[in-house]
Amino acid sequence: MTTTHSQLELGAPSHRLHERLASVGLGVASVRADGVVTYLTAPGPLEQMLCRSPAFTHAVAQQFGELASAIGTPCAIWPGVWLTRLSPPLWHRPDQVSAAELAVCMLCGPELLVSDQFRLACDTAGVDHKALVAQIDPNALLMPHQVHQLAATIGWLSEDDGQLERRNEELAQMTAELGESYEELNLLYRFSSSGTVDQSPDTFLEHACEELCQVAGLTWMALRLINDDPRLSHLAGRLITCGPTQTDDRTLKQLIDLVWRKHHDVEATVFVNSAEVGVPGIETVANELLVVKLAIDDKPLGLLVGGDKIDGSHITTVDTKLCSSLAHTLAMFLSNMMLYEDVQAMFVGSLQALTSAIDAKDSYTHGHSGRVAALSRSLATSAGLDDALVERIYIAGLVHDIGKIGVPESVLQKPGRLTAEEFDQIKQHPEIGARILRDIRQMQDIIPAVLFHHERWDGKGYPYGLGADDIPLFGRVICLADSFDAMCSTRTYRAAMDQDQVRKEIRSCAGSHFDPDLVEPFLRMDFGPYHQLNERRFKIDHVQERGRSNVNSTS
Amino acid sequence: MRSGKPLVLVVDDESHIVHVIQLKLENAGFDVVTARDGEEALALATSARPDVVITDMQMPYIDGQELCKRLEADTTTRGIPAIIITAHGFALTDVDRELTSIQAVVNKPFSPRELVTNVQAMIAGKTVAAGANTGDNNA
Repeated sequence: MTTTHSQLELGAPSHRLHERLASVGLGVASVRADGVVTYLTAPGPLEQMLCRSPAFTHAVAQQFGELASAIGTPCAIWPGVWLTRLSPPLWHRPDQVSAAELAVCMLCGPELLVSDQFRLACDTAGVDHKALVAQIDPNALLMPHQVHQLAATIGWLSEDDGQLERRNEELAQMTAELGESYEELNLLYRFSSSGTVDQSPDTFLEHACEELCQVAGLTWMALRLINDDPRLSHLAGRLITCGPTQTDDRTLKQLIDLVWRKHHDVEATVFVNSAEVGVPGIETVANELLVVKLAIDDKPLGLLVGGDKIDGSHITTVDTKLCSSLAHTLAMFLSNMMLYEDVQAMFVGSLQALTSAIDAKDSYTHGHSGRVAALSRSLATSAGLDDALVERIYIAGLVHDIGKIGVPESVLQKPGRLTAEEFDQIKQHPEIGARILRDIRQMQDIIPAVLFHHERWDGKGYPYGLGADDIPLFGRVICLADSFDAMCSTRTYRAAMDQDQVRKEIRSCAGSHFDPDLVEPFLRMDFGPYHQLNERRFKIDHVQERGRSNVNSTS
Repeated sequence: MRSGKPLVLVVDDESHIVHVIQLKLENAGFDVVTARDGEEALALATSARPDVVITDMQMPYIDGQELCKRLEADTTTRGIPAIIITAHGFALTDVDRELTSIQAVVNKPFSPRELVTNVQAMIAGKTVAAGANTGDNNA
């Protein structure tokens, strides 16, 4: 029912065999080549007597070769005394025995008691032969055919026992290795499937480094990334470490860079002696060093370095393979990240170019889209929207006026008041913009921002006169940012208002023009990015102004 | 005889899994008893009173979930925190939470190291909870 009887125990079974034999009166002794017999279990009076006898010892020594050669066959020492060997030989157990020794069972028959050898041994030892014989239970003595049966049985038992012990050792070892394999599998599965959007690249890399360090059983691990690729953005040149690296990050960085310079062609290498790396000082951080390159299509992305196994053993090929495998996963992760950066930069860059083209139609709105995008992003952050939405709102800000491409320049640039007809033309730009974006799959979530950025909270906006929460959030955010930038800018029909005036105006329009829940986050948000863009605008305007006056003066 | 080390009952019909978990737990200083199916586990839990039960989900006769229900239904074994290991995916329902003391579900292939960490946390949590019972009921 319970484990102790139904399952294999991982303890030493031969010890158990000795106890079992002893429990049925078959003591187990160890025999040396010089004939000395030492009992491992409690000896009976006969066995005690024999062990003390020099003549018996001598006889055992003479028979030792024969005794050692066979299991399951009794070896006659004296009349009525046999030794039979147990398996495996004791010398396989270094903790018990140093020299060649055999584990044996001693079997005695009635002949012994009447033999001359035994009488002589008693006399030599000063033991009263009669009294000793009187102590012996005649039923416990064995007939010769019984001796042979018993010796064979003990032989089988001990052989099976030896097998069992070996199997248990194997099982224990395989269990340990299986446990390691589970650990490695788990690590690889996890990191090959999770290198995605749900965590930041920093956390992903730190986590991977830490887990790998633990699973590989290394004292410390460090990941150094290349610093010459802008697509790695803030990860470029980073050093990620875990475990006690024995030095500060700056020194470790320098050491790893030197390792890299010397061994830039390595894939995965173990330096059993870190001095072989050929980098002075490296031996202070580890005796044994594992170096694995992170690369995609021969482009190196970083170097993974691990130092010394925690248990003092050597770094194995299994560790190396595990680290290379994970290094490959990390390299793919980084490469994907870089590709994503590429695509993203291309996308945003194209949009910026496109919107600059629109803004260029109207010199008064120069840079307007970029500023609205920056303001919208700050507002979205301040309002507590999650990062993914914040980035989308930035894109929405960039393209919100894209529909102006369909409005004649003469209307856009007209100084002074617009006629009702002209204003109607202007009012079409949200819908024109929405139509432009309609067929772009990746811009579907942006369309509401374009279509509804002129709606007002009180329902007095255009094109649909939607009110309050009926206006999609993107529309409400862009509306506020757009109005703020418009008020801060000089227009054909009025001069720019100063910032304090604008803030007052925004506050007073909460609940009429603007979503009141966005006004507070707007007023307390970070205007830094906006001011930077503004300064750029004034510089550009200033240069243009000077250019224009130069042209005027020369003409 | 209890050695004073925390005792964990590991139940799985796949002996290699039992061996791995047993080895890792013993190395981490736990005593371990093992059973090959739910029936055996029930009897063993009643006699040995483990501190934590780790059981496979899919087993002949009584599956892991049923085992946990029966452990919870018996006053001698009620409240022993359990971890379910599954190869088929298994999500705890409110009913499971009410009728069992399953505290974690671990999917195969699992990390033995994390399993041990889990058990350690449960044992630690239990000590804290036992201390907390004397004061405020902050459950």
